[in-house]
Amino acid sequence: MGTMGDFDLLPEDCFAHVISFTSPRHACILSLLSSSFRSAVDSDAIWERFLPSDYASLLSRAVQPVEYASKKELYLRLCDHPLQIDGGKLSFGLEKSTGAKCFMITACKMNMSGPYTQISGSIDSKILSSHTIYAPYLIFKTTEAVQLEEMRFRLSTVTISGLSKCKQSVFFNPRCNPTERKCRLYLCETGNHTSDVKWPKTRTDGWMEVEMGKFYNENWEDREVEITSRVIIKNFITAGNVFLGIEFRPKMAVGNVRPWMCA
Amino acid sequence: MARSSTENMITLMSSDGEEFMVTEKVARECTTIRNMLEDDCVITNIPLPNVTSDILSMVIEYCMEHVAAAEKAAAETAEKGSSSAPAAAKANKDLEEWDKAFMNVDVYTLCDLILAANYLNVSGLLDLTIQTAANLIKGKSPEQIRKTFHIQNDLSLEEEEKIRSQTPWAFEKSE
Repeated sequence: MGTMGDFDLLPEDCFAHVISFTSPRHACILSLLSSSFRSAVDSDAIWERFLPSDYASLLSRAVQPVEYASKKELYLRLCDHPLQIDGGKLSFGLEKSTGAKCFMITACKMNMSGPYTQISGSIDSKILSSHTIYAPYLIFKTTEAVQLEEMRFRLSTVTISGLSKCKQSVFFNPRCNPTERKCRLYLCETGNHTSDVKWPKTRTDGWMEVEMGKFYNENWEDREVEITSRVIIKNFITAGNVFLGIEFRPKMAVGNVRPWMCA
Repeated sequence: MARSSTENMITLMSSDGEEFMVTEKVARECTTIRNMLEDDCVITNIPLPNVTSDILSMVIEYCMEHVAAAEKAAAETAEKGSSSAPAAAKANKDLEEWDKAFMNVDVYTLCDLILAANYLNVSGLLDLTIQTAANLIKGKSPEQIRKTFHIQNDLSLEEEEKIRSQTPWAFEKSE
């Protein structure tokens, strides 16, 4: 077995090419091997390949200009601190281990009808990473003095160009969880299994989220394709919930466009 | 088939002075050589000062295999009027298997092949070698990669800690 020191001797574009066939995670791991690997792996040539191809145009839509000293710094910044774009209607970030694009629609449509609130958010498919399975998540917070909606699930839908692609049963009551006997009984009565339903989860940033279905964002080429996530919730706003937005995050990459995503 | 006798032959010369006679079709698999031939069609002898004879012979072997596979597919299509999907799939699989066996080389050879594929601009071979190199790295911890490839770690504990703290998620065992 030879030494991988040879990889150091590859011209920068070849080395960047090899690293770009691994993943951002592997690039970080390689920087720990030795000082020469560290400087090679931190190069802009490598992180440029991990950034989405349209990152420059997305940066130009930012509410506040983004300053960064290197492409790696920019990549990590977008992973940890999503960027407000389009006057704050949308925020853009990256999923760190793959570099797939994440978007949160903060300007969702809300229609109230009696105790019911319909929340929907639409996004242009072209802005999302192609050949990737995405899931929309409803991000919200429950205040202390909340009158919770009854323990019932709701049906959320994902439509692609108006055609229904996915229906998902979703609990929004933060007290609903698979260990709660009342929830299990209710599911049993309605002929559902605990795994058929998505439960609210607390995020590291303190907000709560629920997965509202999933869809495959293929490469639609020149077609105008709009993806909409929609749900009707009872007593959602009146009960004192605070709604942040609908976030589209990748679940899994498929296909061959960015090879490291398949790992 | 009389084709081979009428086809132009090109001589490629390695850095250590060895000569390799190949058909023009095989030579054209290298974009760098194809460009030379298009600029000057009477050229028959091409020195390649950046490629040693053992690496050049491997590059030629790769190009010959891929030219032969493409010719076979074209001949079958011509014979039957259209290519049959199962036959094409099998041919593709065979070629993939061949590529896989061809990549059974040590790390030194792999790096030399990447350099040669890059210099001669053989896109298929470049993708194959790059993917193989990337696969050697994937799914391994820093310790495993160092051990496998005998890499001397010259980073201090503080520097290592700094790198880890910059992207802690990359070092979590999730894969």
